[in-house]
Amino acid sequence: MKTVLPCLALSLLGGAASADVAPICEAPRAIDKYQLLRRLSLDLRGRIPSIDEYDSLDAQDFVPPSVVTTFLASDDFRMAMRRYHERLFWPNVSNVRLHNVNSTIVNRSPAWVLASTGRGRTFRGAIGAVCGDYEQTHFLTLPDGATNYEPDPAYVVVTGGVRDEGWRWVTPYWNPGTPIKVCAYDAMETLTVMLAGVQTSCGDYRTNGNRSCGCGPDLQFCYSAVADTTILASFREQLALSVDDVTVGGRPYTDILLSTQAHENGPISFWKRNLASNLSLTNTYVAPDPDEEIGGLDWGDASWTQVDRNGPHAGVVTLPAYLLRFQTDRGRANRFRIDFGCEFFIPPATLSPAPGCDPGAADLTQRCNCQYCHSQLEPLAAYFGLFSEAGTTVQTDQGIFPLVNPACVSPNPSAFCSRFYVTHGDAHNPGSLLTRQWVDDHPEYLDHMVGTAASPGGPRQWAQQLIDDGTFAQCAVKHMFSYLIKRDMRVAGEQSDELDLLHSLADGFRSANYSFPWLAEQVVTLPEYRRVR
Amino acid sequence: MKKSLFVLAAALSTLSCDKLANYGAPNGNSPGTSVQTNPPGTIPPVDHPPMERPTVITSAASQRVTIAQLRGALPVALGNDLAGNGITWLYPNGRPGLDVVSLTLGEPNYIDTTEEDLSPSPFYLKFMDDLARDACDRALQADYGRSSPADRALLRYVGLSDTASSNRPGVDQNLRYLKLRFHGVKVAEADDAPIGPLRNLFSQGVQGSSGTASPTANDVKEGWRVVCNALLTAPEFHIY
Repeated sequence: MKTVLPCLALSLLGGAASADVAPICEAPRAIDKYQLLRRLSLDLRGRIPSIDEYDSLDAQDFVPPSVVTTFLASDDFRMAMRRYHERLFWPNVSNVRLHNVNSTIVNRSPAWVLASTGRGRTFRGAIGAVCGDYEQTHFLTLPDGATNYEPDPAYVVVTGGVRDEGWRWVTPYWNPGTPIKVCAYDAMETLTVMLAGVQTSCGDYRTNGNRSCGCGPDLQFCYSAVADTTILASFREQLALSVDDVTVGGRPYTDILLSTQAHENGPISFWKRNLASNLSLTNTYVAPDPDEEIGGLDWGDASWTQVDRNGPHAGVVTLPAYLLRFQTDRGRANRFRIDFGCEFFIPPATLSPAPGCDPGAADLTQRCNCQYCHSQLEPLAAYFGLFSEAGTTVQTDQGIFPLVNPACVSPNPSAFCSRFYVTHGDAHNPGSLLTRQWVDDHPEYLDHMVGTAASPGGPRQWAQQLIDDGTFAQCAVKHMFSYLIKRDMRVAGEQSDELDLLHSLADGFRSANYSFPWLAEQVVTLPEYRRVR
Repeated sequence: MKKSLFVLAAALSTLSCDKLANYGAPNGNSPGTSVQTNPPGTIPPVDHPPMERPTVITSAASQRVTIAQLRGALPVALGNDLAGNGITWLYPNGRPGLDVVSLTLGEPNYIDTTEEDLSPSPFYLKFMDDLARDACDRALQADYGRSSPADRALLRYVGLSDTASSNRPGVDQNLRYLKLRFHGVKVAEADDAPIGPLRNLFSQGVQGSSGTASPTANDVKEGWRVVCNALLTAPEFHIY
């Protein structure tokens, strides 16, 4: 919905000038070539034209088409279109917590130490205990003669039953040029330990209670505040790079939903390999996907490479920035519907229960009043059902996520069960994965989630439907029109005089292989763009 | 300046194109505010008989620039400082003013706010006043550090001591240049209307600084400062 602009006091000048104000609502008027250039530049480049660009119009009768072409090829256009898409995807995830204190290392006196008081107790025997202020120089030796830098108990000061080991110098992965003192237990470099008969990485959250696991070589299994900030900022940039691909990179705009490719830099690649599995079940579940390609870049590598995420991934809407910004399947589906279907859920002013509805129904599609939106929203949310809510992980590894887990049905379920399974014995389908709880009553959920061999499920299936039926193209046109013309298209209700224009632009967009620059160029060359009120 | 801001705020906040567009419509609202204009303009009097609903208008709407566009526009309008950095509004601690007041001005950070409020609110006007005072000062400092007019952003067609009395053609040409540079408004040689008020501003600024003495380069600088402030706070800079 466009903000109604007040009329302008066009003749107003500041300073001590007399206020010869003539506030009028002018009728639509054609703008001259200089104003048109200013408008084009602000819209397509995010800034006003230079004086040289204005002067170059003196010898022209109108703004040459080459100006638009030049603007569309500029880096300013790329940045302007990033901002345009940020309005769609809200990709700021700087407030998201990827882990908890168990994998957070902080700078305390006398050295860096894990923030978890529980892990401090595991190492030292007392809650919150930290190391002593001396350099630890003696460590246990492994059978092969190497060491994991586990402090030798014979050289650890014990006071009142509390083990106060010393610290040792470590080069942290986030700043290898500056060694830091780290409490020796926390800095242990053990790579794997045996967990329930399985060799498990010390970078897996399930090993956080193991006394032999520290932060690993160069602290690779632990997060510092710098690491957090860097990773979360990289997610935003990652999404922006996918946007670049379709706005200036020559890829069809449909790739914004259909591509399984993703950009990955050093921090994201390193995070996936070393940190992502050191997660928190009470925060976000961000372990790597079973089938995704993970790059081999080091933390300090600022370059970006492309990887194939495979599986049910679908353009930007399965990137971490989207999945962590919209953390529920319903939220993800709602945003998708707004961005690519141009449809909004708007409850009626007064709700009246549908005949025969059940006010206490556990199935929201049947519950009175809720059902108006949820009968549409639940099937759409199912498209995201394979992606962890409050997380990013594709939950197709049935070794970790069995479809039914009877052990989870318990009055005191584990954190994992509470998070992913129906734990109440008297609920519908107890022990089922939460996302599959209602698939027996609503088989379409399963189709949307998993699909078939011929038509795999997930958001890509939904996207393909919107592309095939023309909704995607029409919605892209509406967004672009609204951005450039600064009002909504008149395509509904009493005012639908621009319906033909919508169809024409959408058809053209499709014929132009969904070229985003083509669409922008078409809209700025409309007569409407050159008239202003 | 304060007076002009007040007038601008009042004008922007009390009028709505929608109100006027609905005027006289079968179920439209009658205008609730009588607006005094000079010249009278196109607004019908309050006792005007009902008018036919206007035909559907096919045009774009106007919009206030976003904060991001403002960030991009300032260095283009004001040029570079003597160190070669694009001139923008800076707080005393050196941080860009538009970043400091970003949230206050309604720029979405996509956590607390998700949609940019583009209304020219009193807050916006107040901060644009702050912006203009700081950024114009920086632009003038840079210009007065450059000997060649071709290198200057603001004083390109006048000497540093020229007044409207000593070099009227140069001042007028410079004002035309600034109208184009800041607002994208091309003022014809014979058209004095768009630059007349600016010339008055300039002269009053010079005289306000010099008093009864002969204007110095510093007094002239004050004149251009007022002009720069006026251009940066004018609706033509912010609405397109």
